[in-house]
Amino acid sequence: MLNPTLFQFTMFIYLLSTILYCLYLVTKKEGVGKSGTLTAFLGFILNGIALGYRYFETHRVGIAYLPLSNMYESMVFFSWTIVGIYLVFERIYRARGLGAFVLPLGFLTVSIAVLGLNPEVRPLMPALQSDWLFYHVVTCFLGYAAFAISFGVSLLYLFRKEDKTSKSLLPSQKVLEEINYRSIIFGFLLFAVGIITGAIWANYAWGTYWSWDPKETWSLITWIVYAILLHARFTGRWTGRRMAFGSIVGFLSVIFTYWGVNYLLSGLHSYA
Amino acid sequence: MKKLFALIQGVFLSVKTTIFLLITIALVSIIGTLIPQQKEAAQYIAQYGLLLYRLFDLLGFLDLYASWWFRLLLVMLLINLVTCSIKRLPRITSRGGFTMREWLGRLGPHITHLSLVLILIGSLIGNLWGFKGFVNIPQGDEANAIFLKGTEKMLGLDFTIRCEKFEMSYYPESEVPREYLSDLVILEAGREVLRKRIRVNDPLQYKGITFYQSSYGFLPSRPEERKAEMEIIPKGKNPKAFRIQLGEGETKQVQGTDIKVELATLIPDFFLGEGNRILSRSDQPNNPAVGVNIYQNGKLSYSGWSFLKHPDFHGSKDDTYRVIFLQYSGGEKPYTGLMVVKDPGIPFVYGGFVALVFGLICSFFLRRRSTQKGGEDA
Repeated sequence: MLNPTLFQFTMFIYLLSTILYCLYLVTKKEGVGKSGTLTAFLGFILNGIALGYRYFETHRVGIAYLPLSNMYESMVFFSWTIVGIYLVFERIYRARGLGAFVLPLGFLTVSIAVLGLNPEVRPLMPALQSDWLFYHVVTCFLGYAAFAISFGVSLLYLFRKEDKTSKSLLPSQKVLEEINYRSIIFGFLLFAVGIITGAIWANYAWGTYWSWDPKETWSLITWIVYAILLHARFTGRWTGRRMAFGSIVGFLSVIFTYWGVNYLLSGLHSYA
Repeated sequence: MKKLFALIQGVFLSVKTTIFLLITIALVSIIGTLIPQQKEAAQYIAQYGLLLYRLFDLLGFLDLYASWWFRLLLVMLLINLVTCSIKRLPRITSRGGFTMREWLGRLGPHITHLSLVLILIGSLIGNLWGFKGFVNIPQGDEANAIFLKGTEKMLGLDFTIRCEKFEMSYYPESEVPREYLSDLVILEAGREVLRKRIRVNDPLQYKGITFYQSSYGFLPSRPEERKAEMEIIPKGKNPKAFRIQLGEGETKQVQGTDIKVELATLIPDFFLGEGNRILSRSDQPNNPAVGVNIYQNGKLSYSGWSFLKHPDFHGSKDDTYRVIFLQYSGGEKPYTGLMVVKDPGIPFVYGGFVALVFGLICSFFLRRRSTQKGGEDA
């Protein structure tokens, strides 16, 4: 089967890109940084091709579904959205050094899928056969990916000492704060749309838009955590380090919503 | 009195209260994801012991999201959001001095908050004037009443719903179900008014009531409806095989011969109990078996067991005949299991969804950067 191989290549390219971004911070050579970005972009393209190919593969085995339907597929999609959104941020904020903190997340998610999860194309249960699957999963994962980037940025913020030398390759704390905030509002909005499309879909399939099943409840908890962060910021109370800590707590909640619920709790979302 | 008013105002109007309520709701929600909700008492007692079960029951942890104190928290959040918005209403309703973009940006948080209020009101309306229930309709049958969920009560419908057919399909070369389909017809005073083939993710709606494909099953067959078709091959020089269909306890003479076949026992789900007692595990045709006696010239010449799913196995000491169990027909009727929901709160909830997204877009992308920090305590 060609498909898992494509994701393996993606994994190696993301690893290479991570290494190049780290080397860039050490060597401070612009060329190394550019090659890091280029490699990340190549990985992003390959990741996308692999996802597209998997879509055709599901048709070939006669099951025909969008490859967003189990843990393996969601992880390889997650890595794709993380790297994609990161590349946009890198371009807007000209903050290439960030790659050393975000690309490892993309590498980690795709390697968990490649090394630890079952890549088999399995039949889709009737409840999942709906167009809403696409809108729900895509918006949720764009939200997750934005939260992942705010997590990476916050880690950097906490480890970074403000140096007065303007030659640092890492963005200033002010810019990091701005990126952190921007990725949180982007994630907050998309995750809200993800919860809403999930609710509408649930009402269509099960006749109830909210049933307090663990996945739903945890996604609400995650959303509330970020809502608290945003309110604390609007009132001017939380900035800088506090905001960075808050965003790390938020991402831990994301991880629990995504993984913890599936492996530690039981409920309607037990399939993905 | 004035002081008390000021205190109440202070508690309900402050953003600190909002944050406190949000944190509390998030934390107590976790409990409900750790303790399975709305299960049988016996299951809880087995899992947690009697003492802990009683404590959880007392605290409302077993149906947490419907408990009075969780609902109180939600209502308090609602009041907090409404009062916070009302307080600022005069300041934001006039557009004076602002461009449309800035004005919408300032309205954004309030639209977001009111959208949450709208969603909560919608869920309240659904709770008060809606219902959730279910009904099982055997293929070819009709229903004009449903069972309400969580109660023993039935609710009459002012129309009739008929299930013409229930079907399921499987993925090729597997036992994984691909689709559940029910052909439903709505009848008013005996006249057909609506017809739809429903499936999971494609319900039928009529007069504000929605019918969802939820489950299926088979009605147990009556013993007198069960029939077995067998092929009987006599052993000998010129074996002339013949086919015969019998119900349990039935005996038939084979035409033009002196052979009589008796179907002594017909079992849908064969199971060997204690002391080799032959039992049927269920009414479902999981392992059909026949006990057959064959008489020649009035004398018992064969007696043995044959199994539908194990055609090579012959449970007989007699070597005179071979009995092959070809087909079992039990007369099982499939039924479709429908979830029946009426929720007049849906337009409010969906309206709230739209307003929520619109409000968030306004607050995040239309505000000027200078207003993002400090001052604005929404």
